[in-house]
Amino acid sequence: MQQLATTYEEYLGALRSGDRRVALNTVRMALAEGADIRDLYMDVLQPAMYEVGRLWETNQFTVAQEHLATAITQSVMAQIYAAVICNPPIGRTMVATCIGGELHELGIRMVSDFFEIEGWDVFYLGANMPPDDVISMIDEHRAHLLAISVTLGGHVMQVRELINAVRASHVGRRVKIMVGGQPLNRSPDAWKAIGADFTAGDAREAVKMATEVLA
Amino acid sequence: MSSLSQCNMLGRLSNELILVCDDDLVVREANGLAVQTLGTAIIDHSLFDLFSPAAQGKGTAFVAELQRLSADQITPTWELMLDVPHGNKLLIGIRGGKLPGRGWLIMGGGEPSGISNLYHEVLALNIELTTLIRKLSREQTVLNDRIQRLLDLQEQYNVQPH
Ligand code: B12
Repeated sequence: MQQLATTYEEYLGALRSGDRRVALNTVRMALAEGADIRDLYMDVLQPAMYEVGRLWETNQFTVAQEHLATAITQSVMAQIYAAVICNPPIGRTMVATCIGGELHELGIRMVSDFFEIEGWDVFYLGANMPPDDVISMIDEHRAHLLAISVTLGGHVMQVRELINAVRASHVGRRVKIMVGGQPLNRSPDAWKAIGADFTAGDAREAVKMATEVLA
Repeated sequence: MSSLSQCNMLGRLSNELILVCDDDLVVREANGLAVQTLGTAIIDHSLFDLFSPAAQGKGTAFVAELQRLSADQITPTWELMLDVPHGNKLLIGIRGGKLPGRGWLIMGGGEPSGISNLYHEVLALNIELTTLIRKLSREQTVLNDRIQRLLDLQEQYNVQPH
């Protein structure tokens, strides 16, 4: 933990100075020293991105700096992906998507990676996927779980529309629906109101909840 | 000279949007560039209405900083996202200060044209790239596994020749 606190400081420093190489090296070093990629996601990358958001909101980061920090974190996540060591397949499948015009996708990628590590097959659809395509994917891959991510408060109603469409379709009965993201973390009962089966506050909890719900 | 004509002169010099707000932060006057960019509807509306709904938090923080200023101070430049006519968004650096005897003066330079579209385009491309790199990495793992299995089989086959 103490060691990851240092990694966090170094990583944030690299984001502040917009240095992709230092950011990647910091994370690679931690991996080489035996850190679990999940701890790196939860204790380094996620808090660093929240801090970037805070710096932007308090006018200490320009939009350009924030975009650069995001691009760096995306690229770090892509490059360390090879280190995601997955358990043998457990025969469970998840389809993951962000809602509508949502560009915030680091969170759902982390969630997806946690599930892959546990041995799930994950199909990540990104944003802007029409409900019919989401339904086809669930059908085609016989998915057990649909994960929907939302970050902007204004997009929450779109989650409900997607859930309604999935429920009304022929796959509606066999797939469980998990929702998550910051607006849902802020209002803990919203997941029920929008018709989901369950929610979780972060990637680690998501795996735990899904394991319980689908036991 | 009225505050707006002073401001207009300043605005022409610096090519910036200029707004004069009353103490309640309702926009009372705007220079030509501000009206042209933000639409006539801004007059008599609160400054808060200008901020994109999703970026209200930062707008509120800017206003809070404005209200903390003493008479002779101005805020540093804040980058804010404004909703402009036709559903477009404008990324703008604005700053403000107290006008002698009345409300607030807000000035802002518009973004170099289309910069926020460019940012979003680059980020969208980066998302695609990230997805591809990850797909590739996954394929690589699958292929490595297969090769390993084939090698294992071959080894078995070699040690037990017919
Ligand atoms: C990076 C970022 C961006 C990037 C996103 C790029 C990308 N590829 O993801 C870009 C630059 C595109 C962006 C744009 C905007 N952003 Co932004 N952005 C951020 C920032 C700084 C970090 C987001 C992030 O990656 N967090 C890290 C991840 C790992 O955390 P997470 O998303 O919370 O995910 C975890 C949990 O929530 C949960 N979870 C997430 N999804 C799911 C799904 C399921 C099923 C489950 C179970 C769990 C779960 O698990 C995840 C992992 O543990 C945040 C600040 C913040 N506080 O997060 C602002 C923030 C989210 N953005 C914000 C805003 C306002 C915007 C813009 C509207 C800005 C603007 N004015 O144009 C645009 C909107 C674009 C759009 N249409 O989506 C606001 C949102 C305010 C609000 N209340 O709605 C924030 C909070 C910044 C702020 N302080 O005001 N942004």
